[in-house]
Amino acid sequence: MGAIYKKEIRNYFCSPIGYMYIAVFMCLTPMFFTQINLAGQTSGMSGMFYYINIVYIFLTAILTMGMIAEERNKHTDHLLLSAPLNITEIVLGKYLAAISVLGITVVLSLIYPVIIGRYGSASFGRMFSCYLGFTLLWMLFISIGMFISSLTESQFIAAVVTFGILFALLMTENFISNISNQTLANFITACSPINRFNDFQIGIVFFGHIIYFLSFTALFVFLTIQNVDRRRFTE
Amino acid sequence: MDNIKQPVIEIKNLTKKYGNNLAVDKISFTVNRGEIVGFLGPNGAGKSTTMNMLTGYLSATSGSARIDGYNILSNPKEVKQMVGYLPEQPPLYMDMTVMEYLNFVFDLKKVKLTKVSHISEIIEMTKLGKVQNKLIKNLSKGYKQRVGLAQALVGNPEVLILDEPTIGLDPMQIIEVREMIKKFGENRTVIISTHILQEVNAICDRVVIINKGKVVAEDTIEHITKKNGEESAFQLRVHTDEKTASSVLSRAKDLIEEFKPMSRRESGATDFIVYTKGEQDTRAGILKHLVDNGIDVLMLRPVEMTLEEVFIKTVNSSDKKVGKGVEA
Repeated sequence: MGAIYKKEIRNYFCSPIGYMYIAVFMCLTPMFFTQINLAGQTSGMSGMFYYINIVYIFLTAILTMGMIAEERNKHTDHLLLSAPLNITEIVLGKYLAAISVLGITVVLSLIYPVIIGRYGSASFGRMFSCYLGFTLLWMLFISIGMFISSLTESQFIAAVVTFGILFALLMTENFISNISNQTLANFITACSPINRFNDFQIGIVFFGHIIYFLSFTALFVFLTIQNVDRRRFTE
Repeated sequence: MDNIKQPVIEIKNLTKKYGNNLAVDKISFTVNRGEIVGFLGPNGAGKSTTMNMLTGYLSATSGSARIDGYNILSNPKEVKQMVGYLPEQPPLYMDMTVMEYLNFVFDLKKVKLTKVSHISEIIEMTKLGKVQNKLIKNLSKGYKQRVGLAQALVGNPEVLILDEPTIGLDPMQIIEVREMIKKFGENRTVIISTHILQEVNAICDRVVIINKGKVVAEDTIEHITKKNGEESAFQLRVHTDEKTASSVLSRAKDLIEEFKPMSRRESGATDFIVYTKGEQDTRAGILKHLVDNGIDVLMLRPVEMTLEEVFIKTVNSSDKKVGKGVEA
């Protein structure tokens, strides 16, 4: 797993993807921070995270599009699958590498709480809750992107589909009011990650929400492993 | 020397099904320790599928493949540790240098040798020293293929499985790669798939021919070409024009079954393919007949068997057997 992880990290930072991911994040967030927190005179970070989420849909689609699809497309999966390690190690190595790139941006964004703490009155408990919710949400979304990347050989298709699905998931609360069937609406609300994310944003950390994010993330990692294994039987 | 005949690779009734399509149909053969076996067959015969199953890239529908006693299904890690695999398209990461790539493969295969010395040994064996710090995407096809070979050698595997290692290379590179494979085969067991009989002749001890997912022949090269060889076909070169030679040849009906002019190879000379009559060697008779009729013979040699010819013969006869079986 270590070898895969190192290779993936190397791949992110020897290609423009890793830099682009971080650079776009570091260019856009100061804009949101200045507009919402500094000009708006607020220490709440939920407004900033709302906008970051939209930027992240694009960035995550690009980050995850090649995770599995590229190996198949370039036939390097032959090397990985004929090496003495199991598929779980391959997929986990890749997932952890992508999470690490996310982690880098999260750590870099800690500059904003520091600024607020230095010049304003900050509720660090609420900030922590915001950050926790944000990290859990994108850990889940990266696992979904990875799963989609395992379904196709084309990075382009993976990116477009990931973008579409993440966008729909993020926007559930906006279209839920249009659904007249109450049972369906309740079901979607119960499954929607964004409702739980919103609880984190107002400073509520439900243990159940954490379990929800972690278990769904595990589910998509598991589905990716199963899908890579399935191909060994059908292709 | 006792372990020379010991089977290292044992394939039994290995089958791969895609829906209703049988890609590999109950293939069985064994490869002994230290042997270099050529795996022949036309495109789509199931060569790559078989190799992919042997290396664990694909899972078999039924049957078993064992390497050194370990089953690929129940002990995949042990098997994979023993096998070096070069797939049809070398699995290279284009944005790595040769050195970085081999280091990665070393880590990936969890090799327990000394990294630096092992990798430099492989680089020396595959003559990659000059390009070791170049990006793989900037290498020529021949070098890329060598990097693919180097990758298969990482960890000193006992068994090498090479899927068409010389495809798309120029003649010089083909010879180089063949020499390397021959050298690697000195203390390893090698399966190499190919279309080219020459290649098998140059490096293999034995051949397994497959067609439509079935083994149709398995023997030493000598046996297989003898069994299938058209010993009755010769290439004849005479020092005269086609018309004269044809009229003389057509008079030797009791010696010659058929003859066809070939394209001109030498100025002032004409080439023919001559099929002699019956099973007997009538070369001496033909020569005498030509000389008696005042024609200078420049060359008379058996026509070399190509894989296509051996293959068509083998496949045809196997198809006939299958046909009979169905009728019965």
